[in-house]
Amino acid sequence: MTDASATVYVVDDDPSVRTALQRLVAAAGLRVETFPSANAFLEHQRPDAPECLLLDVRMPGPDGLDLQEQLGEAGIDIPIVFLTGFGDVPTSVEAMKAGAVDFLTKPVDDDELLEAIDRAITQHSQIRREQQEIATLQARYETLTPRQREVFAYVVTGMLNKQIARELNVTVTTIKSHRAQVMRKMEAESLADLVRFAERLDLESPTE
Amino acid sequence: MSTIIKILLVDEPTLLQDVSAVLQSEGYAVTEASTGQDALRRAEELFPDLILLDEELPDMDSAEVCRRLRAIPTLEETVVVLLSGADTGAGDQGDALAAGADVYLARPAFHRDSLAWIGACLGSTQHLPAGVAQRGRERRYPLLLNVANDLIFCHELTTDGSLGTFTEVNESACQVLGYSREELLQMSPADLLTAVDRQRIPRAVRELRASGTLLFERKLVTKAGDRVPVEFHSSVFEVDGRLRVLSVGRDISARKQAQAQFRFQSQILRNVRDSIIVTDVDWNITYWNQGATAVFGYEADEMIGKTPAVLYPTLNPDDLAEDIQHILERREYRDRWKGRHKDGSVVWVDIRTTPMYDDGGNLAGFIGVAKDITERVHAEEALREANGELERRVEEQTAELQEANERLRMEIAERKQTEQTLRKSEERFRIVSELTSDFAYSIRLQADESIEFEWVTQALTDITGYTLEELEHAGRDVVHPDDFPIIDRHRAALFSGEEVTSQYRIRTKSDEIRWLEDHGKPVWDERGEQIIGIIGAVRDITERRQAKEEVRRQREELAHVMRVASLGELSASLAHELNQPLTAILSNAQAAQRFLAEDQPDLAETGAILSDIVEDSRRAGDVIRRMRRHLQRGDLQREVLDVNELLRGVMSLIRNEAAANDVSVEYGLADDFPPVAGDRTQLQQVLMNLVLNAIEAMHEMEPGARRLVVRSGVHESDMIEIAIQDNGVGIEADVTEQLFEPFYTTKADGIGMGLAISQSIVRAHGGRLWATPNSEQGMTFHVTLPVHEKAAL
Repeated sequence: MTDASATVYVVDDDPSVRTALQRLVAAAGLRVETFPSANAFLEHQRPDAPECLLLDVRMPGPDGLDLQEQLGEAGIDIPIVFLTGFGDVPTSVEAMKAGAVDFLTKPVDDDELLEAIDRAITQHSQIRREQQEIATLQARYETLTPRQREVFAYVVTGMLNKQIARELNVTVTTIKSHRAQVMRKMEAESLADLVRFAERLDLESPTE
Repeated sequence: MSTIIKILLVDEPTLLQDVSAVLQSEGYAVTEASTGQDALRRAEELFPDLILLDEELPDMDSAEVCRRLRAIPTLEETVVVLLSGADTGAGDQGDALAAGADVYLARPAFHRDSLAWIGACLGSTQHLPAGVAQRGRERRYPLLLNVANDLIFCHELTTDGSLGTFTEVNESACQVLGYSREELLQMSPADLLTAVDRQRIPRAVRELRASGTLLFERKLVTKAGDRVPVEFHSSVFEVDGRLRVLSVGRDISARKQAQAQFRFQSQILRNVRDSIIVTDVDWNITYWNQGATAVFGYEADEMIGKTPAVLYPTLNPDDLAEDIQHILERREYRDRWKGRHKDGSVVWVDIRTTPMYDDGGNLAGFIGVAKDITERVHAEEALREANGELERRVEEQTAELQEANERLRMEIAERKQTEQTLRKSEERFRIVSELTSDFAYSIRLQADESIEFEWVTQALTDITGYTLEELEHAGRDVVHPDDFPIIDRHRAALFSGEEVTSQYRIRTKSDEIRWLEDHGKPVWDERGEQIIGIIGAVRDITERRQAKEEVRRQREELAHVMRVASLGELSASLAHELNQPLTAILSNAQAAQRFLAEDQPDLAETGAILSDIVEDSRRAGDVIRRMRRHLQRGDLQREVLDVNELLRGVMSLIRNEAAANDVSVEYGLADDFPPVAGDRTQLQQVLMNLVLNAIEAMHEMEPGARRLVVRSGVHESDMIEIAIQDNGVGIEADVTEQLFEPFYTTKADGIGMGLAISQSIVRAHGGRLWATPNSEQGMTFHVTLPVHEKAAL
């Protein structure tokens, strides 16, 4: 099942629904916190961990879609599972377009709900992992000199050392040394690693 | 050379092409390979005398290739020369030599004089000096010996890194430097160098010791004090445990000079932006500069050996022959030609061709210089086009201007006419309204309180059809009986001294109902104490009223249709209200199931859950009760209704739905029975719900077989019965009662409220709603309603 450090946040204005969902999610072994409104959720300080938001669409004040929009604008990529009393098509389309993981109709069956939560948390963990990897690569990339970055960019295009040497108007030996430095600093074990890193970092191809 | 010497070139095809050509022209048998694998295969087939191996191969490490070559027994005599990428790095060199290469050469040096290097490398295996020969191959150091006029020096390399005196020099060295052999053997390399070059010795020694060979250039100082540029290739080897350096030098002053000149010329040629193409007498291209590449897009190696015809595809061969004639008459030939770029685009060039002659005065070929004037030609064309465009636009605009003027004139005339028409119509309107729309009257109040018309305008008769006498005679009977109260109020107000406006209906002489607006005003006596009469103006507002009536009717109809259709709406909002407790109940119950499945169930928590479930179930029940109360509250708008008319109304509303679902409708309506009393909208909602259910129930049937029967009749004596019969899927007899319970549904997307609400409505009317399975197929829904006399109004 899902990461034990993961937290499920429940936002629903109905206290009895809130309590019932809290019990159900907790019974499935997940950490859960509940909020009576979108604002209460926004004010809450969340730890940096995998998470998922179980969100009621219809609420007084800012409703579920408003909250989704606010989170999107704030760049918070918490995956959202929507719950709605009446699953009308336009609302769900809007929510899914804005990146909701799931859109479930109340009353919702436990298996369906827990599966959706699991999917959302898995997705969030994966995003976090990727972001961490990119951050690590970025940090390594920062340690490269401008020349090494240049060589990096050429190497990953598959050019031979001598071709790069010709391109940059330096000796093959120089390129070899830069290349070795790039491999060491980026902690790449092979050219394939390096190419993958470049993709992750979204490096631009060397300009002509 | 008595036997043909075989050379295997291993490199990217483009890089060694010129070397290959040069070597072949010198009589070497040259084979080319582009990959390490290829090289190994070819080497085994051919046993080449020399293998020239590029350091960077696409598929294999070159040191690995060397190792494998050395592992092939038949290649023992083969000299393996490794060419570096750009210049030599000490580490690479060591690796390569360790792997089995005989010579490690810097590519620039090799390209400067490839023939001499090849000769030197080959010579080294054939003319080995005594003492060195035996160990040459095994020690793997490069062996370069006397070839032609090379300067050869041999000296010791002492352990402290300094250079010892020469132990051997050759004849060429003596000649070039002006010293005798004896003199030179007393000297050390430092003595032949300039002060500046002497400082470079330690570094050269370091590099030499590190890599075993070194390629470098120095200026040697001759006995006469002249300076001679010499290119050295030095190798270090071991004889009897002592390190010695063998340096092969070549006087490169002539080459330097030639190189400088060649560099100068080729720089000019390179930098010329015009295309310069040289051909032989058969028009085969022998030279192609970068300018030509810039102009035509082809690289030199694509065009060398071909004719320029491909560049000028539109050129007529006859014209060309004539052109050549011109050129051969030694006249410089100039023309503007249309060429084609490699990418297919058109290139315009100004071409200048001159013949070229060799020393003997024979025609050797042609030199063509082409200047790219495409942009100029395009600019000229664009200018021409722009001029044309400008002229055309001026013409167009002149025409447009004229047209606009004409339009303006016409518009002015039109506007004048419109204004006139408007004025006319306004006038007409005023006349018409004066003449017909209103009529004015004056009434005098008699002493006996009876009234007498003093005067009335003609429009009275136009509107009412009556003459004044007839009107006086008819009195208030002209007014619609329902509006008598209005007339009475109107009069009372006037007599109490108020100015008043009333609307009432009259029956005209032609028995039409017309709406009038009567604006009356009391007339006081001179002292202002007593009302002596009334003056008034009456306007026929029938059309206005009718229009208003129509709008109201349409609006009601719309509201009605919406109300009828809103049973689904009601269900939706109900669904929302019910969903909250239901969600809580379901999630709580499922949480409890999970708790109970644990080894040590938390019974306190489970108890709390059960209390919450009870609470939420009550909440859900309350929602239902509230709704029922709402439906039963005296909100019913009771009116007397003809059931058949009610049914027809509903059927007309769902006609499209029935047609869209291929449902045929049959009627069995009784002719003559008493009306019922009830809320039209709510009863329509019920019937509509039943009909739509019936249509839906037949979805599974063949489209042609979907039959809906609508019947009406008297049920028992005091009830009217309506029956809606379908031949759809039907349901089991024992669940027909459950049908009417809230949330019982057989539809995938139903919420099970339609029939429950319908039953509440019918019950509120004092009737019953039930269902029976048909004997053959489908269901019949029955509605009974009490007849009017018995209905509690």
